[in-house]
Amino acid sequence: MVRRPLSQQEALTTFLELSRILTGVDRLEADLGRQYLDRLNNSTFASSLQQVLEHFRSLGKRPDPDKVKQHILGDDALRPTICQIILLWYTSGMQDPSDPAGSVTIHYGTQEEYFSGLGWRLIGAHVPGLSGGYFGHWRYRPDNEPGEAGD
Amino acid sequence: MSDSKTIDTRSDLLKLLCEAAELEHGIACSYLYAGFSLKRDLAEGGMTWEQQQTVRRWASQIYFIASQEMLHLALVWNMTTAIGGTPYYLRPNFPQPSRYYPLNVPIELEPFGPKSLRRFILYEHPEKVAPHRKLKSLFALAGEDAEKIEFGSVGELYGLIRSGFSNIPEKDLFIGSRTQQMTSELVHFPDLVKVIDRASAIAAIDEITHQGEGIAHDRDNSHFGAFVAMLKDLVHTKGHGFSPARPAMRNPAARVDTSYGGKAKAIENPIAGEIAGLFDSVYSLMLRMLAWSFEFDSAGVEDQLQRFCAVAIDLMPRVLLPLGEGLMLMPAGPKYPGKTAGPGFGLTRHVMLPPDAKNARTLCHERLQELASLAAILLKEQLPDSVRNGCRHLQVIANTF
Amino acid sequence: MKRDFDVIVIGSGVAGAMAAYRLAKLKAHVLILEAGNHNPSRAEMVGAYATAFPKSLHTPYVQIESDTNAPSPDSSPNYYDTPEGFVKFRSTYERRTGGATWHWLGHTPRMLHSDFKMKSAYGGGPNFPDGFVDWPISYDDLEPWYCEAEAEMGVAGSDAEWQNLFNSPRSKPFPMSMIWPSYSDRWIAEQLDGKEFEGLTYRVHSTPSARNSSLYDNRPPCAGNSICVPLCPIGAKYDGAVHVAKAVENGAVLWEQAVVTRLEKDKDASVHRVEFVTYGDINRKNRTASPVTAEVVIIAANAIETPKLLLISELADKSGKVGFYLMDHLSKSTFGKASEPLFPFRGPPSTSGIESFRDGEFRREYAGFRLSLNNDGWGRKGSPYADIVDLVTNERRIGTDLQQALFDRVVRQLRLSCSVEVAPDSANRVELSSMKDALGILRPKVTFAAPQYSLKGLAHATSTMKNMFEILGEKNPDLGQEGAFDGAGHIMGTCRMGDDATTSVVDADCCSHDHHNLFILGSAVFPTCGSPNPTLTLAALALRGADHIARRMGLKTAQVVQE
Repeated sequence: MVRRPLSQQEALTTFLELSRILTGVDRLEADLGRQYLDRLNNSTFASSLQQVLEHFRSLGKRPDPDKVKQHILGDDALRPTICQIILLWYTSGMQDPSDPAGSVTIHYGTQEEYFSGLGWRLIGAHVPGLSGGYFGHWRYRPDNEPGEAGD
Repeated sequence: MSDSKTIDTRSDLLKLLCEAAELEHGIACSYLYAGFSLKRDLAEGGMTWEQQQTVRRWASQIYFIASQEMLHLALVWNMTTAIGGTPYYLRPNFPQPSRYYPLNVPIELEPFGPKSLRRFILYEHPEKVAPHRKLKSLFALAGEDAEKIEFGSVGELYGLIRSGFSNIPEKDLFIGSRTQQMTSELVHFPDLVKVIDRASAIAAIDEITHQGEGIAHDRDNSHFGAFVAMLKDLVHTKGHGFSPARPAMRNPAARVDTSYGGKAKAIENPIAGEIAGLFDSVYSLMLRMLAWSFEFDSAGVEDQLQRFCAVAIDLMPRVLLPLGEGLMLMPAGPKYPGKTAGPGFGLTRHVMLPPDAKNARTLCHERLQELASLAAILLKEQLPDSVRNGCRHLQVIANTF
Repeated sequence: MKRDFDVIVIGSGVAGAMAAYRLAKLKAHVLILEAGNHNPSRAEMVGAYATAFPKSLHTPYVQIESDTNAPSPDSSPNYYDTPEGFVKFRSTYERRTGGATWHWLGHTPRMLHSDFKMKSAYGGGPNFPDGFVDWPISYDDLEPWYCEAEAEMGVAGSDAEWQNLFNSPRSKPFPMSMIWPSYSDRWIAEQLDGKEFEGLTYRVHSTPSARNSSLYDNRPPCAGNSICVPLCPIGAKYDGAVHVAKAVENGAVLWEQAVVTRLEKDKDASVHRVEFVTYGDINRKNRTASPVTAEVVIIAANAIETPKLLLISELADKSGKVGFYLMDHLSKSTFGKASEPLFPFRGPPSTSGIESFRDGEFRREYAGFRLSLNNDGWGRKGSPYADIVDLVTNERRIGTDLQQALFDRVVRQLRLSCSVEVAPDSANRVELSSMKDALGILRPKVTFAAPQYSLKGLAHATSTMKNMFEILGEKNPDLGQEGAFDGAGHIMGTCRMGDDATTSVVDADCCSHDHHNLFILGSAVFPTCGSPNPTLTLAALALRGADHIARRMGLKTAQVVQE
């Protein structure tokens, strides 16, 4: 069966749904998602991304994260793309595809994207370069220290 | 407040110190409210990344100034106990009427903006200086009232307190125990000093006024100077659609309580109201724990004092800050279209902590557990991340107390 | 004879800027010549940093024109000429208005009493390097200037902790109370304080820093942006541009994009003529063409550009020592995980250190060192990016499972680092390369090999950090390669100070022995370096030197003291 390609809006919606599951963050900004989707589509990951999105759609509405792990993350060919998606949301960077093992070279997009990185709060920190808070806040445990998973 | 210009009795001096305590406390809450309202993330909208840098810098400065007001409160408490008084931690609920103090400016809870900055500038305005022409034009530029600039400054109040310490004979006045004095080891302000005699009392007052209004040839590095610079900055930060603050209500009240001043408005959204109530309860407990630590002689109960102070201080960044900021991301309710909630810093009838250290600890422990259970129930709701974090941290603190 | 200016200052880093400010304030007619330029705004620099990878020292400061025409090792990796058989000198600097303090960390410990008297205190033994000498001034001579420098920069520190470390008393309190130690520092202090290693006792101290802990000098208190290196987005951290601005406010003239090519001496050996070239788009109004003249010339162009200029000009070198005794602290980072969460990536990259190993009888045999506790986790090893890639790619984690794993991995990360004293060695030197830069100016040839005395110190520092990690819960820390080290960015020693004109370049007042009106300010004049970051010491010397120049020139002589 020949699948019709996803429309732009469908692609974005699918991308955001997938990203929620991959990042574990429920509230993802659509505009940011559009930018990251564009970056992926303009990279060497473009065709792999299409496969990932189609695969994800085939799992049905609101699939279990375990299904995603099994069917998409488990696929060696698709895992690098999954990693890029997560890196984008967490740090706004994409890893250079030609990186040798053990090395991580990052390509950033815009400043807006950089300061929207979600990963730093997951470790109780802040995007480097943006204020972490009031003078002396580093003396205490983080006010954004995440709780135990499953809370 | 005493009508006489000379303060020469302990009782008058203590009354003034109570007033100063109320003032520093109220002003600190007003600053914190404005700080909570400043947006954090680009996802909140209304800021470019460059504007976000500026907004976060403003937030850190406001919080810094608020922390110095808390230092001032601690110094006032030290001055109070040094002369035989009890640290006063109550204050009128918000909004505070404008004629209550020598300060002819209302103390309110209001999000960051030109209005609140104008108020802040007037709170800190130097006592002996007439409002500068430049200041008037800055207010005008900001679209605020540039003519009716009234202030009876905080400096005036401290001038009277200073005269009290100078007039009343030293050996009659300083009857408090030295071991009662709070130090920076316990409350983390490196600039907190013990007040044990006239010289240290005057030094404490000078520190307060220097930080607040500055001195004749250095206004810039005072709170006054910082707020003036912030207002200038705000006026000049160009950008279509720049909106640095969350649309929080003015003078909100937690839904559950009705014993507030007449003009406070109850939060309508039930969950936000519950969170605001939790905020008030934690805030009140924190105050009581700190006041207890300042009030009682540490001799013999140093460990407990350490514990109380550590927990009280931990509650501020880890519970009150995230709850306060997070409330401003929650809807206030249909009665307040477009507005979000906020913490009311409501002080209500509450149980004083007993002098006996063991009993005080028991009461605190029980109260923390109660509040942690309330937090657990609230965690089942849809809440902003920072509110969730505040609730969780409260549970951790309660369980390790 | 009428000169164009009273004073010309070559180089607008901390030393030059402070001197220019002090002299301009006393109504001297001052010209500052700066090879580099400035960026339009802090916001622009933050933006450049945000999207740069790797986030190296130069990332906020990239400017094609000045990078090309006034190259530095920060802007051009191949700027140094390295002789055959040697490794490239690891420390770098900027050539820009305000100098390298744009990207310094901001630590301002003082040198210790013994650091000024190494030869008398610890000399005589077979393992004690020949290059060690005594300074012609003592800690006590410099102490009031340390206080001045702290006031000028705005230093935050703990009076209680630092009153009299190793016989080095303080006559004034710090201008501001300390930068609060981090959560990590406090936990580490609980584990370490009082324990002993190699006969010395661990004691964690907050590190004095030129970083505002309150509103000071119209700059805000630190707000924990955490990227001090390479840039403070809000100006809470001091940088030399603060004093460049003050100098200009007080009437000093600043010419950027003006690269000094040569100094000329007169028949009487005084140096009045400064030749320079300009590049790029500059506002030629009010600028005269090269050469420009002054009564007094100050070179404050750092410990590599200063000797380079002197060698090109064939000046100040009767001793034959210009360029010799190059020093740079040996720096090493070690990595491990603490047994408890420390919450790195918050606050300034370092807020506390351990001073215990800086001084003692052991310095007869091997170098002393400073230790830093760092708040940047394994950031230097690619965290948290590398962790995210690993967890997704190799451990196949996503969602909240990934979040938890990332948290668990990162929050206990700890970096410890050391800064080891380097013994002065005449073989370590700056000379002229035969290769030229884009403007046709000879580049510096830099020879540096770590002296044995310091490598032994490095070995002790490494085993100390290993011991610390063990106490903190890490049995197998990453100690790097044995004997390997990084540059500390502390470039010192190439125009050493001394009383004897045959073995030193400048006298105790930083005046060239050979030219009565030529002064050298900056860390180039350090005869020895101890283990602290050099900036505060060089600032103190610059203020003292400016004071001397002012008195020599008959300007109003009252010390300009900040109230």
